Amino acid sequence: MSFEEFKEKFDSFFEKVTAEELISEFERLACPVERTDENFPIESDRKAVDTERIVSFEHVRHFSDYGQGGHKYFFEVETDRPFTCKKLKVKLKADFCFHNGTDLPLAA
Amino acid sequence: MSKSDVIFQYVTGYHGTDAACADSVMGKNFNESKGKYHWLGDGVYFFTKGISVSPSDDARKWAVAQAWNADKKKYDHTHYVVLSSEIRLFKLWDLTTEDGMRIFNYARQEILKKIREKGRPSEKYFDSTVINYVKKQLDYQVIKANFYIKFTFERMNRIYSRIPNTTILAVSDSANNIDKDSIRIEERGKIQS
Repeated sequence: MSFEEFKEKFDSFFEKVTAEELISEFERLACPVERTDENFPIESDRKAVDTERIVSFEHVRHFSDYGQGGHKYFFEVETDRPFTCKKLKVKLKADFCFHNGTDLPLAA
Repeated sequence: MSKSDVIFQYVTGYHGTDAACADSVMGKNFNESKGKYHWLGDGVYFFTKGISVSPSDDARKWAVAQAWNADKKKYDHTHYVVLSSEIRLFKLWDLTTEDGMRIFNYARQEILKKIREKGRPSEKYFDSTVINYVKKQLDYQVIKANFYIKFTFERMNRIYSRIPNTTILAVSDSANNIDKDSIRIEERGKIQS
């Protein structure tokens, strides 16, 4: 197979693959992936947060001294699940926030 | 499988291993190695004709080098064997060619870009997983590449190089791509301790 043929075939399926699907596949192939998307934990944790146990929710838009804008999302969550996101060390009924989490659920 | 039935190209591959493994291979077939530390992903590995001075010598040297247990400071087994077999180059991904390398570099680049949207591979041996991923998607069955492999001499004398010294094949679907009737013992020997 020439490079051009390969590229056409590869692109045609790869454009449909999401980053999450790709990471999952690499982890299944024994290649661990360190999450750098710290805005929000992985999908299973997201479900735990946005469907089950959010007690309260607050969204704050903020700007730093350097003019960079961002979002902070404050949740009060009840959970006994271990969160995988580095920034989340959630204990029962703990408050925590996310920075720049533009893809967060807005319903709580 | 008969060679006369097909028009695929065959090459001879040499596989060095523990002599005790020979009986489990002869008349049957090789088992595919799986793991993230392989050069070319999962497969049965062979040295083959290419840039090496002698692929059968490389197979022997590899069997001896791999027998050394660095933790225990002794060899894990006492005898080696070099097996040869005819390999069908079916659905070949040839990384000894410019096109083959462009394919790999393009796939690695695109995969990394997408993974970097949410993370980064924390595995040092990322290439092997890229190959396994692409193999699965594009159904490559035999992968050929040149590598610099450190055998006992290179390890003991700490000879590092970026220039490949041998050519290897990683073969999937061994039942169809390795002619089991052609498997034979090229050489047996004792590992000097």
